Amino acid sequence: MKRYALFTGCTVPAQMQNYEVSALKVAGKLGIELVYPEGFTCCGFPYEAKDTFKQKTISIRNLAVAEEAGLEVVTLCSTCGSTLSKANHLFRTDRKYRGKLGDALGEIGMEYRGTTRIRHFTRMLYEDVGVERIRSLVVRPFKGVKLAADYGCHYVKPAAVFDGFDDYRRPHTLDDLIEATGASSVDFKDKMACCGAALLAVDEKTSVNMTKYKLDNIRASGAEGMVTQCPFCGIMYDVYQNTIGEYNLPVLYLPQLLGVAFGIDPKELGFKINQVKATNLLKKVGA
Amino acid sequence: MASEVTFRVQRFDPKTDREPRFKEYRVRNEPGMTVLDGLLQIKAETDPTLSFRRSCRSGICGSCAVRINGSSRPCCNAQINDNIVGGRLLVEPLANFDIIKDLVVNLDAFWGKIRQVHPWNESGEFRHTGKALMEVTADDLSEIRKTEGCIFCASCHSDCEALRSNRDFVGPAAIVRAYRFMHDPRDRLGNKRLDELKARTGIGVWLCAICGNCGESCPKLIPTNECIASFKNSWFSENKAPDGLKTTAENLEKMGRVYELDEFALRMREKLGLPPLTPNNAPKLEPILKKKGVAK
Repeated sequence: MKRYALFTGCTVPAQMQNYEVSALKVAGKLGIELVYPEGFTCCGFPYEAKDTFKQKTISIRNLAVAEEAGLEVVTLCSTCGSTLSKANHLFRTDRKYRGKLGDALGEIGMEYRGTTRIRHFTRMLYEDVGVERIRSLVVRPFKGVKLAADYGCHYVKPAAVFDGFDDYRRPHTLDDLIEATGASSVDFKDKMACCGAALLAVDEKTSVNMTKYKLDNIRASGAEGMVTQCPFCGIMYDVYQNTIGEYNLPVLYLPQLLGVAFGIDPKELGFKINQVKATNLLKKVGA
Repeated sequence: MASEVTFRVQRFDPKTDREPRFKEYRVRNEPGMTVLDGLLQIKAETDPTLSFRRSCRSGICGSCAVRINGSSRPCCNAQINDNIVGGRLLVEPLANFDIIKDLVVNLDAFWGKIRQVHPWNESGEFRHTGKALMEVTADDLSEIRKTEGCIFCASCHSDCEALRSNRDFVGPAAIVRAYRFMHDPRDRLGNKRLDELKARTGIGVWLCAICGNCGESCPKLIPTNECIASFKNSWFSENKAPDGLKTTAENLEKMGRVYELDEFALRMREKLGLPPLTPNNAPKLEPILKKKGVAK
């Protein structure tokens, strides 16, 4: 059985438990153990505006926790994944910075050697489980269902801190996993558009305009649902959807989609938390 | 070996078109050809009415930026063979600008933003210090060099997610420009630049959505996101950040997490059979966050 340290971040455990519970169920089905090491905190991202060095220190501290536990990190949030990877990349490539970060960590009695690997949950599924194995486990195929993939900006950016596992301009890993369920992942205008979540605390109007832009483009594509893998995208597109317009577009987290396709009871996948109800979509596949 | 590729190019002539349309051209493609080479071939051999800007053909002048398959960059800097998707290559004008004709856009909005940031050194009168007239250290220079490579191609402006929804945003290119002068020891304005910029643009300087597109589109690999973050840090240290961002940072300091694991969340976790978590992580981060001042 493969074991990974699950980095839940802040948004998932407090608000998007549907993402967390479905990820655990899907992992269980695939024989993967996700463990919760004591010691993880916020990834550091929200501190970028205040103090980027302390932000990096927070990230590196989390990576040291995982290193100590001897586990690779799997994140549910695209932004946690990118924030931790950015700090890790700096630590590994910039000697001066590495020294400063090492000192800051030393002051709190910790040490990091730079060995922790960080991947997004989706990427881990794609690379360690594989599309074929996932396809083979589907018992409720989403045949003929059109879904829109939402990656979240930081799944692939900044490209320099990832190892080119996916094309940052036109990524495909999430689309491939959606299609493994039998669904078709539709193309739509400006597919990599940003949800605007980072501006919610600065200027709500701009933030919501950005969300609306993508929802409009998805509606024009004829998609019956959206599949996301980033909790703050989830908040913008699902929780805020009704305040923006009448889209009636269910927003599923990737493991919720996979869970249903694998035959898991939707009640166990936290669908109660989804604001836009996916009832009709689930009926289509007999769930 | 030569082959053929289809260029799908956005056309628009305000004199005759009500809205932009697409026209497809067959282009003879030989290894090493850039997208600009393809456009030049179309103009020379197929359709002289196609308009686009270009000059140096070697990634220096910054004139020829367009969107290739949705991402902006100088098209002399993009190989045809690296950008064929489904046998085709999509060429559109830069986004977040008004179109003058075809691939030529009105850059006034871009230059307007650059002007907002006081883009020159304010050296005042030279003062004789007894040492050298002016001293620029290697560290100073490396800060300046980080951003000095900008060729004003406006690719970052075009790919900016925040600008698409709010054109009041100062934009990545202008912030990069401001960063360059703020780190120049010959400049006398220093942090006054921040106040001046805030006075001119208000919230406009805080509207970066941190999507990361500007960093990816920059042909000169300028760390745009780093420059924007550094600006935010300077403002934050002077207590001039928007309230929402202050609250977020305070939450992190108080709880070690941004969202409280309140009773509702804890009950929901229990109901779903999720593992218990430590509600307050602040003690773990306190030794890091209590340190005074912004480290560089």
